[in-house]
Amino acid sequence: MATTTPNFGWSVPTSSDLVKNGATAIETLGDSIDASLVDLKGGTTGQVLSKASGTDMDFTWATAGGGGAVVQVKSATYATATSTTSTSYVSSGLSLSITPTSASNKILCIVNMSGITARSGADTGFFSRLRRASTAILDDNAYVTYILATGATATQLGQPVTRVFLDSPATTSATTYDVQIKSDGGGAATVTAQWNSNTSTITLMEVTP
Amino acid sequence: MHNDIIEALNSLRPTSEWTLVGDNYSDLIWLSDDKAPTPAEIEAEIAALPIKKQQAIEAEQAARTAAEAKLAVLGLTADDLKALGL
Repeated sequence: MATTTPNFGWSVPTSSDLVKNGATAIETLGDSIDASLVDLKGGTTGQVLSKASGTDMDFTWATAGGGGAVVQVKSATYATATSTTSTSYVSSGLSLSITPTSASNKILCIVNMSGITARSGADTGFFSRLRRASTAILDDNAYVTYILATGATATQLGQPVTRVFLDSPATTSATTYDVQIKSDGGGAATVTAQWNSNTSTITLMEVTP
Repeated sequence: MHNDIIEALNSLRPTSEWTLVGDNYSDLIWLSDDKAPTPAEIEAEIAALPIKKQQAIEAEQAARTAAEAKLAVLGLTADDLKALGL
């Protein structure tokens, strides 16, 4: 008389069953196990097994870290004061490279820069932009800080410069992100990154789509 | 030192465009068509700036004193001008 296993309910013979029925019982048990484990077939290198539903033994193969998960994080700092009166963008010195593991993944860029805007005879604004491989990806042409003052009295205003951007580089090659700065006022209107040698940081996070 | 060089550059070439990375003259990138000041000129200007600042303060104070004297002749004070919104 057949019975079932306690966890999966597979049909198995009891110890009092006739030997002649053993082959049939083993075949039935094998089919049950095969059906239960069918979701474990397939998959590729790097994939992980994920539950497809709340049903027992209902699995599916999925990309590791799928669904907005963080794949890798890189961070760099720079603390060399960099000043300019240029009205064209120049390097702030802050940059970092990352090699995405998948072309479909995104890169979350977070920049925190210690900046100061100074004027001495000319009004000025502090501009910054984020680039990927020398191409601007965040250049909203908006003043981070604008100093409006009259007369020749020197004025300085320090501020944290924060830039956040979710980029889609569509590559698996090493990719460099950097930050540029410029002044709006020209000569004697100076903007400074890493003012007073304070540390600026850039963080790059590869996330799944 | 970085800030000293910036002040000297702004004083010597107030309309020029440049970039300074770090604390040394060798880190100066000159972007304008005019000639960049020499290290000696910058050093001299750094030394002269405190004197110039003091002279500017003294000149401002002298101008204020002279203006207050003129007001006194008219029987006015600085507070009278503030009351008039000047």
